[in-house]
Amino acid sequence: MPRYIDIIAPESEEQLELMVSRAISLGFGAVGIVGDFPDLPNGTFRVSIVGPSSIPQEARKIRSKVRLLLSSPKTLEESRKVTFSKLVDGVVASYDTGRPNFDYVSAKLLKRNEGTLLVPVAWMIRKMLEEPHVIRNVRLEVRIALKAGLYPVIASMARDVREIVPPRLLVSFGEFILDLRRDQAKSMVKDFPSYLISEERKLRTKGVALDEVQGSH
Amino acid sequence: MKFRVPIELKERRRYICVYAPVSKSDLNKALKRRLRELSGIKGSGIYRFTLLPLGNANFLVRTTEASLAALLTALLINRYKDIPSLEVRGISGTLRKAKELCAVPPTVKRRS
Repeated sequence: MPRYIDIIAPESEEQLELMVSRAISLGFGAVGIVGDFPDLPNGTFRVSIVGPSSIPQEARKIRSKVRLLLSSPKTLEESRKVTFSKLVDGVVASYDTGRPNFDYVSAKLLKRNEGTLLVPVAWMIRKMLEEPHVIRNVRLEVRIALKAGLYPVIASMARDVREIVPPRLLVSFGEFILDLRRDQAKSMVKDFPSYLISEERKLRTKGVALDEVQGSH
Repeated sequence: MKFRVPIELKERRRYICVYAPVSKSDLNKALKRRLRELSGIKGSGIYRFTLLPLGNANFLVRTTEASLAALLTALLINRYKDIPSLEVRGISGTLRKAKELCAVPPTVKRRS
């Protein structure tokens, strides 16, 4: 059954425990953790964000250790390179660059791996009040991702307890800022992230990433 | 003469229970300023709300279904930027249920 899922990026181990308990108390069923922490609490999974230059060498090393492997391309060329590799599960929406870095071709490449486009709410809010065109770029990328059949995800990417918000606020953010219908926005907080970490997706993409890892030897 | 019901009265009312340890005027100003910014970013939009103080730093924000997403986004941004201790504790379509949501102490966990 789908559960609300959030992805956070804590700054320290003390923050990690507090943030996970707060997220679970707010109604999240599972929490993705970005960062190199040795032990993770129950109800969490590992997420890693690698730079485009670390693909494929670095990505091959950590692929088996993380549940979701994301990348943050800064240009369209990097986006094509990143999505061409089947090791990557998704890309981060371009919240900090002046133009969209994710096109339909990249989306179709990512679709082979049943991938995702991550909308980082906290990072976006920090940026969008100074540069409102960020919203237009992310909105466009989400539209492309939905058209290509990807599974976009809205996550808080909180770095401390203060930035963890209830799932309903993430849904409203998607509904209002990204011009989505409420059911679409809700899917991006609940159904799509649940599918991304599900066994069903693992079975469907079985062998896709493995081929690339074995090909390196 | 036929009486016509204004369109905003036909809309379903929504009540948001908010915990914010600031005065009513400060919260009102913060929300209005954030909604003005959001209206500017989105291009246009009229978002209506009324603040009802309930005591113990709890407020009810009365709004319409059409303004709900904008209000929640404004509250989210205010939590990130201006009022870090602001919390949205629940949303309801009836005043009685919204007051019940606000009556629960904020430390009670909804899920273990």
